[in-house]
This record gives sequence, C-alpha cells and structure tokens, in this order.
Amino acid sequence: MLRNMGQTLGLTHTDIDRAKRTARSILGVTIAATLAIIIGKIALSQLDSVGLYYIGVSIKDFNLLSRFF
Amino acid sequence: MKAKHVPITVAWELTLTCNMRCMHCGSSAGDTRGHELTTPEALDLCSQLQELHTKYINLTGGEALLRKDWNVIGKEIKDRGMNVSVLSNGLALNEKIIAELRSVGVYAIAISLDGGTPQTHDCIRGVPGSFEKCLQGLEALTSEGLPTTVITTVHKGNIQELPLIRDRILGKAKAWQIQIAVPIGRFPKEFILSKEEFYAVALFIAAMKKRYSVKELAVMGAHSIGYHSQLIRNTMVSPVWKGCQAGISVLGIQSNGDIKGCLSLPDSFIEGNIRQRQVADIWNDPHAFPYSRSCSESDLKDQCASCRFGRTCKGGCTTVSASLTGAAHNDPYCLFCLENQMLTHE
Repeated sequence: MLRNMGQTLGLTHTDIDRAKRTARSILGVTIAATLAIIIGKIALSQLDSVGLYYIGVSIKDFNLLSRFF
Repeated sequence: MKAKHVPITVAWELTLTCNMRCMHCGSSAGDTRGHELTTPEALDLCSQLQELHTKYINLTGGEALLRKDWNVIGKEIKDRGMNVSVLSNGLALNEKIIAELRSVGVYAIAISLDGGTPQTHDCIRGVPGSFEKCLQGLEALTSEGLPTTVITTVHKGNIQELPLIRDRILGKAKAWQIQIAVPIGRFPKEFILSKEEFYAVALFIAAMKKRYSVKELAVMGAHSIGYHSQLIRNTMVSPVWKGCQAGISVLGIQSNGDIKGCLSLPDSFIEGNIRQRQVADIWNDPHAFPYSRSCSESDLKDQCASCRFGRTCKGGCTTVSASLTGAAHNDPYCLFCLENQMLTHE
C-alpha cells in the first residue's frame, strides 16, 4: 500500500523503506522529545518565557532536532 | 507573575496588497486591506511584542515587500532583539530589496514555489513569467548568502510536481517547507487533496527527510502534516505534536491590527484589534483563544473523541479542522486516523 502511494510521487522502494518508522527511529524521537521537554521544563521554571522557546517550534530548532529522527 | 502563554512566534501580515492572485490564497490577497496600520502604529506594535517576550516575527502578506516601510519595521524588530523573517512570492525581488534584506539581518527569507514547471506555477499564481522570476530570485538570494527557504502549498493542481520542484531547488534553498492548501479564502474546494493524496505527501516528506541531510536540503511538513503516524517517520520540525499552538505560543496579526491565534484562521477567530486594546491585553485576556487554551477532551469531536492521543493533540490543526468540518478539534487529515481507516479496509 505504501509503495503504491509512494510511486505516484516518484519514490523508490528504498525511499519508502527508509521513510518507515523503525525501532531506532522511535527511540530517537523518544530521546529527542524527552530532552526537549526536560530542557523546556527546567528553562521554563528558571528563565520564564525563555523556557517556552525550547518547547516552541522554529526553523532555528530544525538543525538540532532533525538529527535525532 | 510568570505568563502562562507567550507568543514566541508571530505571523504579521504587513499588508494585504499583492502582485499575484494565487488560487489557494487563504486571505484572498490582492487589494490593500482597509485601514492598514501606519508606520508609527507598526513601530509601536514592535515595542508591544518585545514586552510580550516574542522571539520570532515572520513578516508576510499579501506581499510583504510591497509595503514601502517593510525594512523600517524589520529593522525595528531586529533592534529590539527579536528575530525577523520574510515570506515573499519572489516577484518583487530586485538588487535593492536583496541589499535591504541583508541590511535588516533577516534570519530567513521564504519564497513560494508551487510548481516544477512554468505552466503549473504561473497558472496557480496567476502571473505569467513568475516561475522564472521566482527561480532567479532564489538564485540571487543564495548567491548573496541569505538563508533561503522554499514553501510549497500542495493541492490537486501540483501534487505530481513535488519531485520536479525538489530537483529545481536542490543546491539553491537551505530548507523546503511543504504544506497543504485548505479551503479558505479563494481556494476552490474541489482542489483539496484526497486523504490518500495527503498521506502520499506525508510519505514523500518522510522519505525526503531521510534522503537528504539537513545541510543538503532540510525538508519539513508545516502546520498540519504529520501527527502520530504509526507507520512512517516524523514529518514535522518538532519531534512531538503538542496540539494547535494558536494562542498558546503563536499569534497572528492582520494588516489592520486585528489579532488572531494564527494568521491562517478565518476571521471568525478574531480576538480584538490593537487600535482598541494593547496586544498584551488581548493576549492575556483569560477569555481569549478558548478553542486552544480551554480545550478539554469533551470538546473533541468525531474520530478525535475516542482517540488515545486526543488529550494532547486537541484534534489537530484548528484551521484545517474548521475549514473542512466547520468546527475545531476534528481534523480529518490526521495520519493516525488515516492509517486506522486504511488498515480497517485492508
């Protein structure tokens, strides 16, 4: 089913296999999410609105977060 | 006392004036909106946003660069310690504006590219020659070392050209933001993606994120693409979806001073106007943004009511949900929901 969908947009079988979740990617997301929440909570309690910066989403976060998942 | 919510990211429509007539435009941009903010009012607004601890301001439109004082406002934002980015259709870009973008110190300039061929892009944007102009602008920005993002809004008229668009922007843009068109403004409902097409776009984003490193091309799904898939990798910037951020960490400002939780939301979500009340008064009003701040599980509708992610997800993107179903907290374009439907049918 995924292969049929992917082929309509020019994805190869390798692309589709790599796009699937794996145990490793789930673990990566869990670690990244936990870190973001912990940093956010600590910063939120100590630095007021700066804490929300870590929880919030921005293009500047992208380089960091994207490496985890 | 610490503020419970802070508008970290602000999308500010500088003007509704636009030099294009895009078929998917959610704000039906073209003519100038009545009673747009004056330069002194806009500069005062910068001060008010600084006091609210805003970190990022995205100047958009209409076409933001058509407002003659856009660089004065951009500079004021920077001088007040906030980050400024600009969203443009690329048509107005010239050497002078590129020099001003550099002078202001924008942290990102986003250019809209909606087709991989001149025919598709120009047809969607309503301006012949805009495809070439857009790509020329992209190259000029890149050669000047400005951080450039391409934004593609996907619908039935251009979904097949995603691979072509990718090939056009590789090596030119730093990032590629992919979002879906929703039936607000002048977007014709019959062009909205089917649920299967929506899922294919999410799969495409997940695959491209894996194929290209962040340095090659940072691919991201925006707004409403991607929550809680059990089959494919995360398609969003954030590792987790924490519900619609309108009125939580996001604020939208229309060019006449109207305030909404998110600029994409319909006008029925306007909370007030900065000519009548200070932004802080509107933002800190305990009755403001109820769809976001006061959402509980009992507000969830249809498939979201029984979903195990409902409490944190809050029914997905409010704009998509409201435009497609007439109510918030019921976004039918949800990967988790679609996967359940597809698996049930198999």
